[in-house]
Amino acid sequence: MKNTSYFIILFLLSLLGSIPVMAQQVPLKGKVVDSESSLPLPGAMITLIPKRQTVISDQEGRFILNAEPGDYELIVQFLGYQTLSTKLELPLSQELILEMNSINLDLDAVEVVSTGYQEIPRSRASGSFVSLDEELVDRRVSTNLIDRLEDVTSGLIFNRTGDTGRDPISIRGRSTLGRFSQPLIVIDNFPFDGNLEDINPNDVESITVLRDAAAASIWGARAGNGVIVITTKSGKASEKMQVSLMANTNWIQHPDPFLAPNLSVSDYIAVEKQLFATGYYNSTLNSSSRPAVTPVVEILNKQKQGLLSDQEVNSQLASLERQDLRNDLNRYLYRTQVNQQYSLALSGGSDQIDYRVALGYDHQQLPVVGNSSDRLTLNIKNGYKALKDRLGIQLGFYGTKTLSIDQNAGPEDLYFTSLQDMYPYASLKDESGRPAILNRQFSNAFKEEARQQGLLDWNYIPLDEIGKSPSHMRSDDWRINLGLDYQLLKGLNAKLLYQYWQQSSSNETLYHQDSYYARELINLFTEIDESGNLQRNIPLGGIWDQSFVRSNSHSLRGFLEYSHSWKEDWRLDALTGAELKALDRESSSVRYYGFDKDRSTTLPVDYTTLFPQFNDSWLTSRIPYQDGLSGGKDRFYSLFANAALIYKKRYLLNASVRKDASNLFGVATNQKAVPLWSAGLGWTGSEEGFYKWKAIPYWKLRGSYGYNGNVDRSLSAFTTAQIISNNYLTQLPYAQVVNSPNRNLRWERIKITNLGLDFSTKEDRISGTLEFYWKEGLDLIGQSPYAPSAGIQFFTGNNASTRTKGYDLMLESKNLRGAFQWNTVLLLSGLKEEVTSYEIEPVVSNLLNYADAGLGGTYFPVKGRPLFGVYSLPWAGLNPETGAPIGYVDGELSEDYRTIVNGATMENILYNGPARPTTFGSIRNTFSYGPFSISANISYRFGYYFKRSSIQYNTIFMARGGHSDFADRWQEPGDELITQIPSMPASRNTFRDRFYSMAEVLVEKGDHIRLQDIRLGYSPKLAGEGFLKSFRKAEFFLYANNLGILWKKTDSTWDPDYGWNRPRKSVAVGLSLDF
Amino acid sequence: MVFMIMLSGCGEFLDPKPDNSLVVPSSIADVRALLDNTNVFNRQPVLNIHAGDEFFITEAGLAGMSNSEVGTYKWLDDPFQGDRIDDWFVPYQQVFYANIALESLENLPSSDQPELDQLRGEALFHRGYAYFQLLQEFAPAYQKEGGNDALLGIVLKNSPDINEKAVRSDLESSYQQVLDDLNRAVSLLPENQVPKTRPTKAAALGALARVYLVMFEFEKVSESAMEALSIYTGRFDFNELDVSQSRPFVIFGDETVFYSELVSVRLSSSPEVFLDTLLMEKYEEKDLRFPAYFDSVGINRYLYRGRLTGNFSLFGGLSVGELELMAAEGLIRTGREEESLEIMGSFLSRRYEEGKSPELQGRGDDLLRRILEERQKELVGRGIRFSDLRRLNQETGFSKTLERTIDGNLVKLEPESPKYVFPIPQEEIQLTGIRQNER
Repeated sequence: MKNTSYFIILFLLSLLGSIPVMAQQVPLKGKVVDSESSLPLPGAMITLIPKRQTVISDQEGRFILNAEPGDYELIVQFLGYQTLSTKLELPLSQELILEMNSINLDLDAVEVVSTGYQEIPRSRASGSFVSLDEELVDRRVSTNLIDRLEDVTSGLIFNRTGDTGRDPISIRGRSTLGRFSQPLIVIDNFPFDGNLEDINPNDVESITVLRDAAAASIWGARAGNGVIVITTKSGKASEKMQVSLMANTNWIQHPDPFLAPNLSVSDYIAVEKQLFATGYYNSTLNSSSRPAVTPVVEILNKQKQGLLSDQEVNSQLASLERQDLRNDLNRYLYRTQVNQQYSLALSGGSDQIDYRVALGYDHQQLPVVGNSSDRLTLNIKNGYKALKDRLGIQLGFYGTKTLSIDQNAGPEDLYFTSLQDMYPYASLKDESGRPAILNRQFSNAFKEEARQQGLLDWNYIPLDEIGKSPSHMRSDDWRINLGLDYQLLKGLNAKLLYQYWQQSSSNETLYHQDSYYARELINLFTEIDESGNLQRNIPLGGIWDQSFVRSNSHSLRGFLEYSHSWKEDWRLDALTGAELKALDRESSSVRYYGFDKDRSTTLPVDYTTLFPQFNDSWLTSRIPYQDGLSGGKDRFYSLFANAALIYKKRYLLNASVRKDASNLFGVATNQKAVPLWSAGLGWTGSEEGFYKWKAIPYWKLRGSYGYNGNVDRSLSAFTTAQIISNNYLTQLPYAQVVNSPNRNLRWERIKITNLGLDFSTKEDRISGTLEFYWKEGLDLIGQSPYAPSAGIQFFTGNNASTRTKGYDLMLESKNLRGAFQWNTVLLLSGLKEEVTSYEIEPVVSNLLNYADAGLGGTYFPVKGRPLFGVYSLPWAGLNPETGAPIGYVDGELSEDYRTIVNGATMENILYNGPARPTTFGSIRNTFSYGPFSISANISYRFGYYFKRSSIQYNTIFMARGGHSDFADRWQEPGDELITQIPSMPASRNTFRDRFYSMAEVLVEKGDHIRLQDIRLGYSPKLAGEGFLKSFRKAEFFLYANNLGILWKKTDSTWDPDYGWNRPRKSVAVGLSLDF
Repeated sequence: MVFMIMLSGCGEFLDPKPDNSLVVPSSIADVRALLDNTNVFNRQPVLNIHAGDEFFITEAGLAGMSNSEVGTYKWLDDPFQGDRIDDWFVPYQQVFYANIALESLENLPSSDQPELDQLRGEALFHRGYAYFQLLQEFAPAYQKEGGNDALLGIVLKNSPDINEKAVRSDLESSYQQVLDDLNRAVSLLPENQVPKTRPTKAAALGALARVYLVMFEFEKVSESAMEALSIYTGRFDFNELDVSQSRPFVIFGDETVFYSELVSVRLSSSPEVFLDTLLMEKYEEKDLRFPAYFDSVGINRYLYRGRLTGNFSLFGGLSVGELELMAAEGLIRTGREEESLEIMGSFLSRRYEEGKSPELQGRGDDLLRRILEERQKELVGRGIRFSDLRRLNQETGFSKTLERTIDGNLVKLEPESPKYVFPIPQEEIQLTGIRQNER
């Protein structure tokens, strides 16, 4: 390697002028090989354009041609392989290796990345792109597209802890504190507003993930969290009609009720007996509101009243102890989930036309008996060329129809009272095998009295509830795309893209009159007058809830594209244009009472009067009112420009700028919109004349710098109030100030610096990409405390910042070639995140309560720490005399739990570490032999912590069950040597529980390695005879997912990412045929 | 270039609202909705109850309460222990909302004058009422002997600008601001309004009477209260109540002139908070308030259950009973005994079993004492007693030393104690640097 300043001078010099070219014949030496096996291909025809010189490759696949220096096009044709066409510049410094793709493989010769605005060859990109080709997208079996990115996309992680509901995936960490933390998803050139569930993964051709400013800044104010660009399949011009058929079935385990760490049945009953002896249930048994008690309490009460003998009691309790609700859930409510997918596609084209029509059907048998989901997709794409190929027209239609039916509310609905889960010894069928009545909400005696007074039957029979409250969720989603491009001049194209999208979805639940929900609601609002007449304030009949959401959008983009090469060495690609988008949405919900399905009638109710409740007349309540309306409009426009300048195919400079405006902010902000920009540099050093090292024939350095933006759509520059329709006191609409004026509101900006190295060794044996990045979140929207006398407590404005630095490594290695092949792909990412400024002092108890693995939860920014962290209280073990937990007060051992908990400060609590992985990735090995291939993906996550849950005696004392750690608690002196689970206190002690739940002893390291999946494929060679002749490609596969943890740091039974739960294992078989 | 032209026409394109339910308050309906936010306007400070002499809390009860509830009850030097204090924030939130309403009304065309006046009256009422509530906890009692312009009042905020600097006005100006807002409200508000969460002329007069009462301007007390009673003619007789019910009152009943709840605290629902035993002894037989208000759950264990809110919340708004008692006190203190007795007679007949109400005996201070005792019995748990203690402590013969046993020790609160003024929450001091009260 020579001095780098030499290159810079050379680079600058070469920008000034080009070096003259000599006119003299030079030899062109080449070799034609199979791209997969690298075996030589003898007999291939090589044509040099425009000279029309033709040669045939020899036994070693080699050939020689002679021509003057200059730009040429080389066309290579060979039977069974795709025609290869490549541009080259003579003279060449070395032998040209021409890799031919067999038709079966259908790989693109040049890897292209899509920004959603344009497709560029990877060699001309300086930004950070990750692309997934069709093979990788299809590797995993799932009905949801996004799942297919997991563990195959460098730098992208599926979050399992912390705010996972709103923040399911992160690209290179999280750079915003706001609510909008998700990557922008672009499908077929436009940002996608629908549900990703409505996209059939089988229609996807490629996915590109844009990770840095240079890659994403063309998306401006919406690119701050990264961009995922999805391109759907289209037909190919000049290709015979191809029919593709795909079918697969995936069997997925149902949830396992035995995983939840709950008290065993015998412990549960023992606790109930103990509490009964202390008189705990007396107030419940005597309560005027007649609440339900569990069967054990009923039995014990009868014993106390002398209605049952001790012997009867013991035998009844013993029989309850033999029952376990979890067995019944497995037997009667759960079943294996079965997902079936089918798709049929026709594609092809002539010189002027290409087309693709695809029909997909998915059926899911959901794991709860009675529930299912269906999806139908239709994808049509057409391309035309006219006016001597100067005009191109593309038309597309993508439609999805889904229907999910829930006949069964499932185990979640099996509660005992609104405060308590179902008792674990409940049995769903009685001895004679009939669906059993369970105790619920109100006492059985009360329910019997109500029945005698003429109220509706109040019994709760879970298995009879199936089908009585069916929910139907329907969704129709479709979009039409129109694209026009016209060549105005040589090198100058005008393009116009338009998309119309619309979605309507509905969710209807009909509670039949005989459903428990309807019966209970009607009964509670029933009054009885002196003469015993019933007055039903909610009329008899079904209760019908409906909700509707309708949205549509128009998107329009117009731009000019310019490409020009001059003086042989220079090439400019530029585009500029504007984009408009208008999105309207509205939603409504309504409830009908007294619904009669046969006559299609409903009945009115009085929503304003406070009615006494049947179970307790001094409790009053209004009839639930469920009607509502909402709506809104989004408007965006943007201007953008992007240019790439290439010199000698090795020096690359590109820049991008974009300005956004929307109706989401106040006008003042739009007027002074700061444009977001980026710039990138690339240098393909291996192209330099002096570079001769054959071991690494290709390498490229690139760097980029720039800004992306992020918008918090909930803020405005003005005092904004939200109108809420129904005040609880007055039933009048009222307004709540949701936004105090902020004339200085700005976009969040993410400054990203990215450095990358791409390389490949000889014959691509090892190729890879290594990138380092530095991200700074600036002007992030956060809260700052405000003096209460201003009338607000917090002010939301641009007052926070974050910093993330990290690296992403991707290595692909062809370990073995030839008949037996072995390829390895390694993904490794590391990152360090930190909140660099935030004005609100963290509430220590919030920090300590947070971070139970797999439980989600929110985050609390702390300056100098990552956004998601695990904090705990120091732990000094158990008191050997009593088994009570010991903590610290002012550095001294203490059992004063109130002081320990209330006295926790940022200074005396422990920061254990990040709650999200700081090193993660996967290793994917693929072996193939002849038609067989097997690939296994192993994922790993390191450098983070999680907190287990454990016993909270409070819930035991309140008879609401508890944690299974109860069985392993400290019970007698000496136990402290084998357990860290505190003893049961003599009475409720909330602070003791809280101290234990926050203690260091429950914090575990999350590091683990997981065998994610294995895929077995069989693709027979179809050359040959008879029936098989008509097939171009066939693959049969077997796929198994969520296979389990190979290694984990923690000794506990917990899965660091799923807590006590486990991801559900699945096995799929499938086939795909092309003919 | 083409795009630039296109974008210059984009002004209208960007006009639609991102969410239909969002408004930048700019119409009569918007202001109406702002002023109908009962979560903001119909709540008021509560900790004065903890610091007063109406309730006692058991150890178990204190264990379940927030630091500020416990600290205020124990008369600690630092009663709030760093807690966020709604008693300070809620009234200022009302002032903020009222100022947004007033500013929005300024910008509306005057074609709808009566409606604008009414809304302006409501906003002024709420602002004056909020300032008054703040003055009862966070500023010293108004001094009978004068010198109020030398004492610290509260922070007055008369614009919705959140960046306006916070400064404490003197006590005299603070009270003048309250009088000014409420007097303007009286002239603008209609006589009747539904629902009772909206203020009326009678409510504004009642609030004025409360202010004059703590300012020792008794003539104006009786004048305002009697005018309010002549406008608001609804009267409620406890004989109509079914006192056997747990919650005999219904929300927005005839007794309620203006509806407001005290901020929700554990004290209001805890089963470990009991009425002061001495206070219970003052209720006579046949006094219907006793069964209507209280549940006996043991010896000297009385829970406060019957509240004019008809629900779990404590009532803090204006009632007919309070107006009558203010009128009677104002009259007796200005020597108009006959009129005072007449009002008391009518009042008591609606509180005792039919025909069993006592004939009030005595004159002068004895009668005044009886009226004050009725006041205590009628208005228990309403957030009024603390103000009464602060003013009565300035009058010889009426002052009281409070006592309670805390952690086994007898603790006293002397009439002149600086603990009758709450400290300003630490957060406010830190962020604005205003002067703290001395404790």
